Amino acid sequence: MNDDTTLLKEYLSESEQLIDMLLSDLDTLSSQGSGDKPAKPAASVVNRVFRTVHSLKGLSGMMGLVEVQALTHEFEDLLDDLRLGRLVLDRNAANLLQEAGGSLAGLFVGAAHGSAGEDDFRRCQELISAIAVRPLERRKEEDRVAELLGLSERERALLTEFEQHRIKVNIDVGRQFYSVAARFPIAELDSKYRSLTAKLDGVGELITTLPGKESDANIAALKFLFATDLKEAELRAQVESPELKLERVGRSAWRRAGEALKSVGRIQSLPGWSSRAGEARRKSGGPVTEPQTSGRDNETEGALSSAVLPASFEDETLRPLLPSVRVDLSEIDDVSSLAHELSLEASGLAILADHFMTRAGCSPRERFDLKLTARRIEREFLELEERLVELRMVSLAQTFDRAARLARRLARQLGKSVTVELLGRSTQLDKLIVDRLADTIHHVLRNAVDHGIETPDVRRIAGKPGRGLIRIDATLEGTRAVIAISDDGRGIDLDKVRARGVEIGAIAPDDELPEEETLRLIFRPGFSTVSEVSRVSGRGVGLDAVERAMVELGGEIRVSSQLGRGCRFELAAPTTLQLISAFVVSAGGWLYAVNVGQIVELVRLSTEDFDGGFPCPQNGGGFSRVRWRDTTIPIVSLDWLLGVTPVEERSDESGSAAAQKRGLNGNGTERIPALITRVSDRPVAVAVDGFEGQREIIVKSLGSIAPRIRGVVGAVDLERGEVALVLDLAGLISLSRGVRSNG
Amino acid sequence: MAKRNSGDLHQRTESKKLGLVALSDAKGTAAGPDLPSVIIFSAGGVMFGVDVNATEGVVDCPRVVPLPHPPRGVIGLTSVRGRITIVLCLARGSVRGEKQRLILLRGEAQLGLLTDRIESVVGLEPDRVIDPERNRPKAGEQAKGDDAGGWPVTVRIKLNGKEVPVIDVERLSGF
Repeated sequence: MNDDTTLLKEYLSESEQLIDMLLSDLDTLSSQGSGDKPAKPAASVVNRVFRTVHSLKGLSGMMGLVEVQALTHEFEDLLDDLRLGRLVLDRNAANLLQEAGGSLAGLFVGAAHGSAGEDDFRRCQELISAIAVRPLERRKEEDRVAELLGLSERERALLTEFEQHRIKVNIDVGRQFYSVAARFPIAELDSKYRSLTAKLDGVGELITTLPGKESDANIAALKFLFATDLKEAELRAQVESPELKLERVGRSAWRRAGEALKSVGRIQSLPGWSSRAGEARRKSGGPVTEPQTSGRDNETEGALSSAVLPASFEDETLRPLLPSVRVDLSEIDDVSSLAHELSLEASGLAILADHFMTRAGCSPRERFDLKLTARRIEREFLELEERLVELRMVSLAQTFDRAARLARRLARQLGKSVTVELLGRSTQLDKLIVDRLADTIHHVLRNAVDHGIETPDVRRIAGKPGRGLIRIDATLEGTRAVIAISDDGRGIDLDKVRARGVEIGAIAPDDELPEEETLRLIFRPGFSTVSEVSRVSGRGVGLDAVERAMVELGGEIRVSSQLGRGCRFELAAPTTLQLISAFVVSAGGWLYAVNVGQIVELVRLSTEDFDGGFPCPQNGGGFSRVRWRDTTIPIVSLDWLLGVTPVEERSDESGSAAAQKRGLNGNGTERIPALITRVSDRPVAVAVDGFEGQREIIVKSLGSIAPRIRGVVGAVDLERGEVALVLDLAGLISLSRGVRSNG
Repeated sequence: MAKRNSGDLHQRTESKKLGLVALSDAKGTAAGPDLPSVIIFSAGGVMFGVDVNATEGVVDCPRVVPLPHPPRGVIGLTSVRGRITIVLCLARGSVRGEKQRLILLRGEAQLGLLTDRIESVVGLEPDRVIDPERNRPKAGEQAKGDDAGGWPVTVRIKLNGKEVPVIDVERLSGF
């Protein structure tokens, strides 16, 4: 990874944390200002927001994001006005402050990736200006731009408007700037000037020619400023000569980093930097401290522009903002695999050692001690594995907080009002799962606000409070986490859903479906009962993708609703894709593991319970039906689902051997072992050859091929060197059309 | 193991594929002592080559667990040194060696090439490399010469009167 990528990753990681803090505090301020009368904002919150914005300003400067840094600076001025009582926190200001903060947050990521456009910057600036109580002291665009290149005031004054514009354009497209200092004999000035300008035009864009230093009667000293895409080494090879001196202009990464570090108080002792703010920072020892001066920290500003980096940069304290270490998930997985291997090797070593000790005639006591030690080692390695898996776990707090902000913002856009309650924020899931759930939660929430919650007037007519309620709740159910998103809105109109189902051909006009199955029609592709596509949602392409995403995750989505009273979506997902509690089964001579969260029941079915015979290759395979509890459900053999030729067929074993494996119950009738699982809330039986027991397993990735193997979420090393595929039963069944035709 | 030639023969690049192509382009230049090495192996009676530097080792192939509806060439997966390895068979027919070996490939794709047997390890001398133009089929065309079965190839070399395609491991990882 090169330095730029590393810097970008660190920037995004640190700014993400700061942005979350900022938005959360702005949310608090917005709530404080949402009353009918202007409010006095909590000083602690405002100061915290001020410090966070100050840190963000430093970070953006470090990345050379000049525009973002400038906007952050203006936002900082606003917060300063708020602290000093110059800005009144009424409802309008509270909302605008939150909007501006959100816009600025978006720019932080967008600008770093180069995806922030002029409109984004303009919008943010408009929002900030709308709140400002005094004319913001914006530096002139041209001064800021010229300052970037380190031009002196005299040189800046010589720039024409067009040249300033060209500088800005080249900055925007990311070109580097260089100056060439030349000293030409007056007699050859004309020819050498033309020659050099032609050369510079060939490597980039010549912006301007400025007077150089040390001209005299015989020598003309000139300074050529130009912009280029070429790398420095290549440029020097083409341009530099004994009479020309090429120099890169503009802020170097180190200078930017140095200023950023100073601005957030990381560097605590610098020559020429002495202020009350500096003293406070040095005493506190924290990365960011409350500014001691009112208004802009002018002394710090002065220090920023004139301070020189200390000679021994390594001597300074460069404490990171966050006391954490950043580790890629793949590295944790690798160490976890190693720990697992070590536990297996330890187990094997113990067996070998016992064997040799027996041959050597060691005493039973010695052998017992050996076994004890071996088991202890094995346990400790397994514990190491579990601890490593736990490292991947993160809480849902950040996701939930973002979801709540999103819901409130969406509601405002739609002229609605919502309260968002969050429960179970501290529930921990594997980071990978949290990342993949985020979009799903976002989508369901969007639907709740857009289609579920009514406008205040409509709600009051219905006898409800004007403010809608959305609750996001996370609970653990065994090895699964269930995230429920419920609202007290209008609910789902089953008649409309039915009518739409007929319209898109999902059901026949005379089909009579239970309420639960009617509701599940909303997960069909293209199913939207909203007549217009709203700006927020309602394109009818969402909930089927949501269900597919949950299934791919090894989970499911459930829905319940009461017309006029609200709707509830439940997203059930495994807590981790790594360490799971699984049930191992055998089928066709191979072992397979299934997450216990996917298993409703383990049964041994009598062949008498089958309609149409047990599904096997001899009778065409596919789905059949079997009696289970008080109903009949589809049943399919795991061999058929996987399309894998059983070992017994390959070795030409007889069918009776297969029947033996399934377990005769002594009366000569077969009892077929089967797993009962759920697919879209409907039970399906999957027949196997045998049950091999439950165990805790570490699921290993299939690597880059993983997305192309449907129905398999990974593999696991079992004892005795066996490898078992870890299956996603619901995914496998969904892939086979037999479920829909026989369901 | 022969080292790479760092002189005029080809420049050091991060891409081993480019190194091999550059070598083929420099055909005729006097070869130095440092040459890339290629493992020559057979699968289903067909000979293939793979850059030694793209491999992590050769092991006896453990039991391979079949995958449901796998992509072309994938016969299943196995576990080697605790790492799940996707087993690829480059041959059209099945591989029927008495003792199947697995060439472990470097990279995050976790691939292993199933072989009947390892034939040899040869240095990639310029004289072995067949005309580079033939190594670069146009878009959509399959490479000419011995059938590489549609697998990506960096170069083709001459060995004992036969053309042997050297598999492009980087592109194979994205199959």
